[in-house]
Amino acid sequence: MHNLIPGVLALVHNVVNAYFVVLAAYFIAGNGVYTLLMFLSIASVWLHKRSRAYEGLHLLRQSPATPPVTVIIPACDEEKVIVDSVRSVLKTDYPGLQVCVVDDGSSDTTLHRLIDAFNLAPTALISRPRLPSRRVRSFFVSAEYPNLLVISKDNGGKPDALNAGLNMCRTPYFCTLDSDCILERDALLRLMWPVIHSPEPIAVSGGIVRVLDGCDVKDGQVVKVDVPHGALQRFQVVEYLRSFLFGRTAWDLLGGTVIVSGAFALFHRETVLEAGGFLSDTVTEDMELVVRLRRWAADQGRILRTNFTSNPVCWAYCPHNHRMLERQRRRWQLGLCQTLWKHRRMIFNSRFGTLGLVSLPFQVMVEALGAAVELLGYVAILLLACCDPSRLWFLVPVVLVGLASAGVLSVSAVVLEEMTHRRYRSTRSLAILLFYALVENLGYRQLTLWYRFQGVVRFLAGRHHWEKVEHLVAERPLASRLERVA
Amino acid sequence: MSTFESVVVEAAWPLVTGLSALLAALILFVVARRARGNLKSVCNEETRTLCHELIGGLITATIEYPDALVQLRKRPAAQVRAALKAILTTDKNLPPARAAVLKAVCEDLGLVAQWRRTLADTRNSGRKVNPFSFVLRAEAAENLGIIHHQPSWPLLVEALDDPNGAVRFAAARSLASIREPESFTALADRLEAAAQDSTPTISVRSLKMALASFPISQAVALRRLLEHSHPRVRFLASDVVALMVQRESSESHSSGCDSSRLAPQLADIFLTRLAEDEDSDVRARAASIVARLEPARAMPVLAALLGDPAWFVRLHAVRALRHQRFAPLSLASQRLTDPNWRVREAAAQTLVAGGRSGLQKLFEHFLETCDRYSQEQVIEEVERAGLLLPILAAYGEPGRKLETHFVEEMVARGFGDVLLPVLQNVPPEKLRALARELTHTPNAHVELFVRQWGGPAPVEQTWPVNESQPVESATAEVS
Repeated sequence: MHNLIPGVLALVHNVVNAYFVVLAAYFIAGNGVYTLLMFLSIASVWLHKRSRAYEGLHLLRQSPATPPVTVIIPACDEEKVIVDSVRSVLKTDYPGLQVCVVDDGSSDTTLHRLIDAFNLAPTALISRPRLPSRRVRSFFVSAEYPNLLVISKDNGGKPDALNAGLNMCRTPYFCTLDSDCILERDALLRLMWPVIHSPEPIAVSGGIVRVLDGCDVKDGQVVKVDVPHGALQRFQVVEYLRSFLFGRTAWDLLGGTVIVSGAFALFHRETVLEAGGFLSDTVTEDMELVVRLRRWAADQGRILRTNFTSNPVCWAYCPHNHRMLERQRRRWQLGLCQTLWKHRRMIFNSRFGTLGLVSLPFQVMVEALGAAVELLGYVAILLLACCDPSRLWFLVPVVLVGLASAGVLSVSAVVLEEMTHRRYRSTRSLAILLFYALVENLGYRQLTLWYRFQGVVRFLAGRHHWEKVEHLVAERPLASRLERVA
Repeated sequence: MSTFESVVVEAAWPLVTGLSALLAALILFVVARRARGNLKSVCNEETRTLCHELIGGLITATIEYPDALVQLRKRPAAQVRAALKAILTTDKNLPPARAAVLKAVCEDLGLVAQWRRTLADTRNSGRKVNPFSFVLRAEAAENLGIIHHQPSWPLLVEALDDPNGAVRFAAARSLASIREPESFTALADRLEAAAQDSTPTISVRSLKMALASFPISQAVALRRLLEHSHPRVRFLASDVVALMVQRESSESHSSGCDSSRLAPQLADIFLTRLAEDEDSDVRARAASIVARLEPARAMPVLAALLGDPAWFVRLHAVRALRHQRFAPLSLASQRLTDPNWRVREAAAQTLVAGGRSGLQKLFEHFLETCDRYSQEQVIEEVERAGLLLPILAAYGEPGRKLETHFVEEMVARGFGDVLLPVLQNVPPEKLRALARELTHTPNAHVELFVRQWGGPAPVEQTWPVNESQPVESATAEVS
């Protein structure tokens, strides 16, 4: 027995040491790629910013050659935000704009509010589904807004609602928009710009999603941009900047786009229909569709590009408490794992170019497995520090390197924002963002890691559950048309 | 201490120091930049505002040109450029008169010469071009277009072959703004090349957009492309002509025949060749132009296109009927029984757009046909056009027999539920008349309608129309 304990301790020691090698490799690979992405995105975002001087949106606005677009807004129990969101879309500056709101069997007053706000009347349109979706209950149109169509259907989830909207879409392009989003006036024109400009066919064009919390919204438009009041939301502002300005911009430059946020993205309708529309077998239907489209195009021998631009802006509410954040991150991670597993044939497959050889392997190693690797790293460090305090001389610099490099990436995102788009005009906002970028890795990152780890566990357990995130929005008085009539 | 650990520690501390220094530098940089920006903006605000006011005054002709120019020359060149840039970036759609003043200011301040030099930068052979200089070239090309600088069109045509895509796109847009007739041919040549290339250097859409901005009189230069052996070239050229016609029609607010605007030789090509083209895409595009030509020649061609084997040719042809004032409406009503729902939908829309006579055709068709799909399409279009209430309001009136019969048949054929939401807004005497009439023609549909209508407070039901029944079509087809 006495001989056994040192043996076990030696084994643990060796295992922990070996794990540190894995952790070091993960750290170097992950941070190396992120640093590379950072440099690429700095150039890309700067060029996008400069392109404002020659973007020529006025020609897009006037030309009969600009393809019409339908904005599809799936909504389920979104009574607090839906009217502002639809109003902002209707105010969007785009020629030939159609808006289709799909009420996915809401149990609250979402439909009432829409009827009330837009003076909707029921109509019996013919439904000719090309994609499967749950039963359509009724259609509503507005004499005041002839380009607005509201579909009321049985609850079937977001992909199902998007398919129902897509079945009624007649324009060559459609834009998916979350029901809690506010679009900037020229956002759609900017989203369409690369589609017109690109010599290759673009099937997906994504824009940037920014945090709406803290901003002032008037009449469906963001009139004042400010940082939110809550610490959790402020951390997310930094996170969104890093994710959209860094990750997606740089991956787009490399041709390895995996994620285009379905909260605000433009799709080529016929391509999506041919590829089978939105599927419900993952909890992140947007990511799954983007990867599936690339796979489908390669299988068909077709050239197809995805595009991400940091100019078109959509403002969206972010989770306001830990419970909602936990749900969101768990779902994102679960969806990532499901998508990667579903399309595992593409990983390290040269047929898919940068996507197969670089982007998807990176998503597997760093984004999907990274959560578990990093979290176990923290556990190992704590274990080692507790078991053998004399090793602190080794652990302290290791932890500091990790924190400092992550801090550099977060602060760089804020710097990039300041150098290019500069939406947060006040010095106070800048100071707040810099502070939160600095301290993001002291607690918040570990928290989100834990949520992401839960997502990985759920994936391994085979769970498939869509977790709804509720937003903290001031309640507006309901005055439905029916009440007015009464 | 293991070797691994000592290596890690030796590497870690310099890394921590370096990264911390980098962090501090980044924060200092951004704070300093913001502070400098704020300071600079305060210092420059006054000058820039003054320059902006001066240029704005020049454009709106509220300030004398020579005086303003002298004043502008006294200001720091950077501030004048910044003010001009702000105007050029925000006011891209200046009216010609104001653009002419802006052009004169830019020329007199030497900016045009500078833009031209920048744009010609890539032509200096042997010299290495800065990879990021394309931003300046694209900006120069865009600015020359905003001020409609006519003499720069050859330079912009050359810029269509610029190594950078953004410059090529900006050059195409500027050529579209300047609308120099000779540049149209250059753009058409690029379209021809792009149509035949799987990876073109300039996007087909941007070329189409640029070409469609020219007046329709220029379309004659597309003749060679319309007669090209490659079907995609013919298709794109037809598409450009269709867009030009569409734009001119919308600008002149006319939807009728535009035969006078299109060159006779082009009209002949569309009538005799492209309407019978082997490629269905070309025939579809040709339909929209044929419909705007002289009716005597256009009608037989359009009638043939309406019976085309390809459904989307029929779709385009039936849509195009809206632009032909003299087209017999029966041509559109025949398409209401088309096997493809999109053609049926377009036919119904064309008839609704045809005013009272179009609606009469629609009602007559509904009353005559036994085709359920076709009946559904008529009902949908009448409802979508918001015509149910006027039809019900006219129920039973002398001279409105067709509408009256249409309403009765709607109920008798099982479309009565569509009427329910609007019944509350119909005068009571009309409703009584309808109820009386329905008792003469009892069937299962009528009984159901009367039950729904006559149930407990059915008139107050405003939505949803069919909570218990799916709004599903008899047409469960997949196109």
